Amino acid sequence: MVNHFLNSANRRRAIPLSCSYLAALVFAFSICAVQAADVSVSLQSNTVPANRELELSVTIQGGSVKSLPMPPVPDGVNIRPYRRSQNFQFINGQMSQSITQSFLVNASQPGDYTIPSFEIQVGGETLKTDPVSFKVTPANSPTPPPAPGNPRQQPSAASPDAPAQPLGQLRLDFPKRERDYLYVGEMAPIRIKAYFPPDTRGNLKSDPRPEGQGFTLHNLSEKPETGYEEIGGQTYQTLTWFAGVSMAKAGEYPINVSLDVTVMVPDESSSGRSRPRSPFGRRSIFNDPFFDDFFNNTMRTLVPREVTLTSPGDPLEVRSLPQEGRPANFSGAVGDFSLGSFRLPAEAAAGEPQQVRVTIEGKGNFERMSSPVLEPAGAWKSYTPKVEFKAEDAASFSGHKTFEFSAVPRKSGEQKVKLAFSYFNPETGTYESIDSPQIAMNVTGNDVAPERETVAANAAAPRSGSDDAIEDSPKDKAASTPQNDLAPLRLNVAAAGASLKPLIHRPDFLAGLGIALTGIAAGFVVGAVRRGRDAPDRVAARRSKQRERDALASAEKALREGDTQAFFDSARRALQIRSGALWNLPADALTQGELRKRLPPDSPVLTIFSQADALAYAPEGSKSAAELERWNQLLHQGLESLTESPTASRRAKSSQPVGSAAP
Amino acid sequence: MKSGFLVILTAALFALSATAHAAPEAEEGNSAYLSGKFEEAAQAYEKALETKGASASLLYNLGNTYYRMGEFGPAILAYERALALDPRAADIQTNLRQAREAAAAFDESHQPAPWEAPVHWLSFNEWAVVCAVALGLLAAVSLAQGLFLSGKKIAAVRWAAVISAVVLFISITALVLRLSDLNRAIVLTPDARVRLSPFETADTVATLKAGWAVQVEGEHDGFYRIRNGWISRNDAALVHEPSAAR
Repeated sequence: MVNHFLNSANRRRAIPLSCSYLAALVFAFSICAVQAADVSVSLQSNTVPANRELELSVTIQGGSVKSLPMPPVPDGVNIRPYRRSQNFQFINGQMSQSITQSFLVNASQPGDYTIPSFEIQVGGETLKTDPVSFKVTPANSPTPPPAPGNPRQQPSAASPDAPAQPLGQLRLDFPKRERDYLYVGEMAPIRIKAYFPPDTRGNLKSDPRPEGQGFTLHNLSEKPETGYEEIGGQTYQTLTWFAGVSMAKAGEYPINVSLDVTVMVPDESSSGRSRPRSPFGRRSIFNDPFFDDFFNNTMRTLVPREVTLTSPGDPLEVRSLPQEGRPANFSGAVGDFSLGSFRLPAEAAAGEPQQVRVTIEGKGNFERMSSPVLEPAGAWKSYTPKVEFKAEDAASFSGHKTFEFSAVPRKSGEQKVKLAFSYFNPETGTYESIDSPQIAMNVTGNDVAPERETVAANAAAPRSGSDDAIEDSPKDKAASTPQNDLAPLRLNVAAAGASLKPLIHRPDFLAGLGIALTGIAAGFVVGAVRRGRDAPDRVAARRSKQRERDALASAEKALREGDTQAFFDSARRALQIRSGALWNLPADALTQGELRKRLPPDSPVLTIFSQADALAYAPEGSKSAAELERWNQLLHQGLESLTESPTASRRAKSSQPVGSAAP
Repeated sequence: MKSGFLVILTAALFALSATAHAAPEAEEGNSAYLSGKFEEAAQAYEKALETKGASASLLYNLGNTYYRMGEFGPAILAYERALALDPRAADIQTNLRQAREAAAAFDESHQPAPWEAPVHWLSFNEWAVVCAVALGLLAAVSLAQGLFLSGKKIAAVRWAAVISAVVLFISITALVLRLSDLNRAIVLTPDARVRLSPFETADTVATLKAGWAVQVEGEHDGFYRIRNGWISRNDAALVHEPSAAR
């Protein structure tokens, strides 16, 4: 906009004009500077409860101040700077300036206090404030009715249906119950609800906290639930917490909680002034009530107000737990509970620690609950339990608590072991005892003498003069710090010799793993070899070879004996077996005709087959030994010709002639 | 074959019985402890550890003794070592918990995620044994299949092989997840200094209470490297060490 202004055609005229505005402003400030300055001090209220804060405002009219000093602090009072604001006003052509510095003041003790006068340098002039007094009342005393819009006011006991607080209200609700009293130790679920009126926004500075010392707040929900609630035609923003209150002492006292919040509220100082006219002029469409609301709601400023909200509450009767009928093993729990079962072995040695785990379910105060005890009493020594609680509602009022502890049987013999638990039921007003199911257990060995078991604990405990017989070293005497129970010493220290070296770092273990791995590998290798050896084709080949060897042996025998017929029969048989194996055909199926299809005509195999067939069908008599020897050589040539490379074998299988032989 | 097995078994039992006798030092330790002379008891137990080696009971008694002496670091170390040998002993668990509470000792070492809970059902060494047994069974099945069996018998033992392989896989996974156990160390001295560098003159960045468990990530010149610096080996001891003695 400035650029536009400077770039306009009237730039030359505009520069002198702006200079004149500046001159006028300087003049106005100079007028202001010569005006008489004034300082005033005011307190938001003359009375405040202990530990609550009041706002102290120091206002300087008609002057400027570089730094405002802190007011003097009376004994027992705390003052801290809060905020600072500055206003300029033109009234009848005259400008006035005011600066307001606020402080927050509080005191912990009731009494009358006065903040004395103090000096402030304003534009070279020293001004003095008036002293201001205020009264601090006890914390629980009723507070005076707050002024409207007062940021430090305390909520009054408003009706539940209409939160009358301008800045918010806090309520604490108990669920409906038949009794109008509670017991000490009883846990009661509560709901805490904060209301913030329309047009405000609440920022939490703290969680709800109990007012007074008669009760404690437990299991407050971590984050409040946010929502809206319409009351009396107005929509309030709400924040809701759930918690349990546990009564700490008997008597009649209110159950109140408080909450620190910063409430963002519309700026009160601007509310008195009329909204600036629409920038588009009196007659523009924006100068309309609709747009008035729009500008009021969206463009107005919010200022923070620090508020401590306190729930109103009538005194509540809290009764002590009755002495009458209180069991010896009363656990401290107040509510309504049930005891789960537990497990123990059927047999164990005396002194041998057992792990006991039991769960208690129900509704009530789990915080005060101690572990159930093992019975028969005196026969068991129990140790500090490990406790785990799981809530089943937002306020942790109902849930289950698990106790896990070690217990040592002291007495030997047959025992009926059970867990005993007692609690106070506030609904019936009586103590109730419940037992777990009994477990029959045989404790073997000798009784564990209590003095022996706990001698170490006793030795560690601070000693009286009668124990001087035990000679203590300084170290032993210093050992008296841990007082808690320890599980007893193991008196039978046998089977030493174990190593703390991890197994995977021990050579013998690694050697064992190596052997196992080798065994796995060996098994695989041997298996593979065995599978190869037992393959059907290999078995068939082995058998074929054997038959061939048998046939050749017969031929050799016939050769030696000069039996021509037997020789040629055996030779033909050997050739059939060899060629059958070669072409994967049954040996008996290979006739001369078949062979002629597969072998060259000059093959020695065919020659021998022809001779053998000739002898079979037209015997010509026996041959001489020399002739048979030549036939034998031809036989071996024929066999060799049938032992071809795999390529040749494949060729043979595809009916290609294999080898040839001289006649 | 059978007689050979009996000979080996007898030898093993004999060797076991030789170590099964309680060391006299351990008996002395017990007597001293029951008399309230804890320093004497600690010395006796330490001596028994040196002469006879470790046992869960001996380490547990040593832990009790250090606890009574108010030395929570060594007590927690002894309990941790006892638990490494006897992982489910209720009394060791109870006293370790008690010692940690007394020492306000936190465990800064690896904290298992909830899904890792089954991995902690057994100790590291127990998982190693499971792994070895599974591997041995697999080897036996493999050899039997290779040497003796055939046909339907192979199909029968194949199931054993599958189960062994699954167990082997689970145990190896557990061992890998539990590897960090081997680097757990316990702070022994009160206010042990964690230094910026592995030097005695290096700046102190933190102090650890006795009994805290830390995860050792490395070692250099007498110092253990932990998450936020270096701690002297005099101030901390690994739970799994070759020697049970401090």
